[in-house]
Amino acid sequence: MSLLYVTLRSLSQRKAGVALSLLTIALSVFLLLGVERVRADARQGFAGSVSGVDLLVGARTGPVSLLLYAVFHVGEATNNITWKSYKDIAAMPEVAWTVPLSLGDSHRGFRVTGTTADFFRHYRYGRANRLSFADGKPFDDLYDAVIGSQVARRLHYEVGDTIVLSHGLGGALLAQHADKPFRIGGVLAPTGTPVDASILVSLPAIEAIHLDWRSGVPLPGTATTAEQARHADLEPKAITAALVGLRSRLSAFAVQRAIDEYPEEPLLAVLPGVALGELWHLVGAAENALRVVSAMVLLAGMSGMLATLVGMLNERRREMAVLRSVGASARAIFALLVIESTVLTLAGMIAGWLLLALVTAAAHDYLLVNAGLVVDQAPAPGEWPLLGAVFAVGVLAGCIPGWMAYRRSLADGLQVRL
Amino acid sequence: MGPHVHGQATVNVSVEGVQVEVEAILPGHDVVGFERAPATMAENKAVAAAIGVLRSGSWLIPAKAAGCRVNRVTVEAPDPEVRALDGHADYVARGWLTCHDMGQLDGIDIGLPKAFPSVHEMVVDVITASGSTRQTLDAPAVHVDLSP
Repeated sequence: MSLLYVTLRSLSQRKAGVALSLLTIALSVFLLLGVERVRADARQGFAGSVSGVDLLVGARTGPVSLLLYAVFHVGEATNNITWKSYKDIAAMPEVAWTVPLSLGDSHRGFRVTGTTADFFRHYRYGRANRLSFADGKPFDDLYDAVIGSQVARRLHYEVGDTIVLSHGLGGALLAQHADKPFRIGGVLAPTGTPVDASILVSLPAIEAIHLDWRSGVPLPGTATTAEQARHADLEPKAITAALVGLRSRLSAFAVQRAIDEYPEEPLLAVLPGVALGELWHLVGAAENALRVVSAMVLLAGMSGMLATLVGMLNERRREMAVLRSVGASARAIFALLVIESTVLTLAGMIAGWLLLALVTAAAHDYLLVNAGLVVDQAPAPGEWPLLGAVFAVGVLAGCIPGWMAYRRSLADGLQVRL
Repeated sequence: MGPHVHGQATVNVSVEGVQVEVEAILPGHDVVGFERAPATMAENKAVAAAIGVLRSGSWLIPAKAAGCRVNRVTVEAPDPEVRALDGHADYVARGWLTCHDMGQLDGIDIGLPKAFPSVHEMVVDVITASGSTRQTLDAPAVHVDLSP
């Protein structure tokens, strides 16, 4: 009779205890891998906030600051880029495409971005995913707006609804662009990026709503109607930032230098990935916190497993004594317990892994819509070492009761206690 | 050109198709020990030797399996006639490589710290099909990761 056979028979005799151990290990593995996957995916999602863009251009400031206001809509731009500078950059022979971004207005707490239809053509997120429409299409009328999925969900908007933009971050009734309402022409599918919380309108629309405004306030006595605005000169004077795509990446650093040294105004060109890396470095403490949580989960799970194994051993002193009396060596008893712990660990790991696969598949859409988190179905690279650690601890955990059983005498289990 | 910090080289690596371009910007202080026009025969020799090392392309060591060839290396030495406003001077070396098997190009070693021992740190900006990253390498580390 092989030891493995004996182990499996023994386990089948103690279904309740075994099920409890399995559950403990499976939940530990599920939590441990789940935390690691969320950590890896949060990082991946962050790094993929803007992909497929070779350079991000704005007025001269810090790279992180530019990234924060142009991509993440956090804070304000200290300065704008003149339209002429933007056109000069777009005309550079190395530049394949440019997408202007004009920020500054809002609607009920969500930022408005003035841009062109090229935004939908060239913006990429994650692993080169394109923006897609859950409903409607890109703006084609002056007063069309496209909203992100979060805006649609939070404010219960759909295609065809009318919205009024606020000047700046809004609030005051005076600062509403109420005379030129917008029609929602499209709702974007969730992306897990700041686009979800954006309202996109065309650059001429940004100009149109500010026709009668100077220095952030409406000019008294002037009132260009929405219809009259259609015939006004709506070429922008300035924009906030621009996304730049190059014909060849080999020219990236030369173009970056040319923009940084642009003689007509102080500009800054950054490689988005480099700025994202710097920003992640700043907020990386959150990632370390998740790592600490992982370690705690591992510790708690393994302690629980060890306690269960040792507890089960106590119930099995008589079984051990019977095995010894029929000729099993002390070594065989030790091996029996180590094999048992190994089998339990392996089964628990598989169960935990399957549980995680089920939960990620089931919660994928919910997490994307509600938490802006794209949870990958595929294991993160960091999960394999963790699984290795769980296995090693599981085998070691079996050594402790094994050693205890090894040291016990034959009489221990057969002794009649009065 | 980026900041001029003695002991720190700025390296830019761009990858497009089968081509790789590497640009290294080194403070004159780390290349020859001074940032002015060479004044003695020995200093002239030092400049010539440094330019020779940079131009040889021996500091460009791509992953062997990728089968890369260094096509061309150019070196811009500081012009002794032109004094920068801040008194600093940089050497700029650019290398162009073509690789046979891009799938195998998971990295490239930039052997500047070995050639110029006073280079203690390299700030490497990389742009490839999978995006851009910055890698900061403290000597003796020379490996720039190019894996997707």
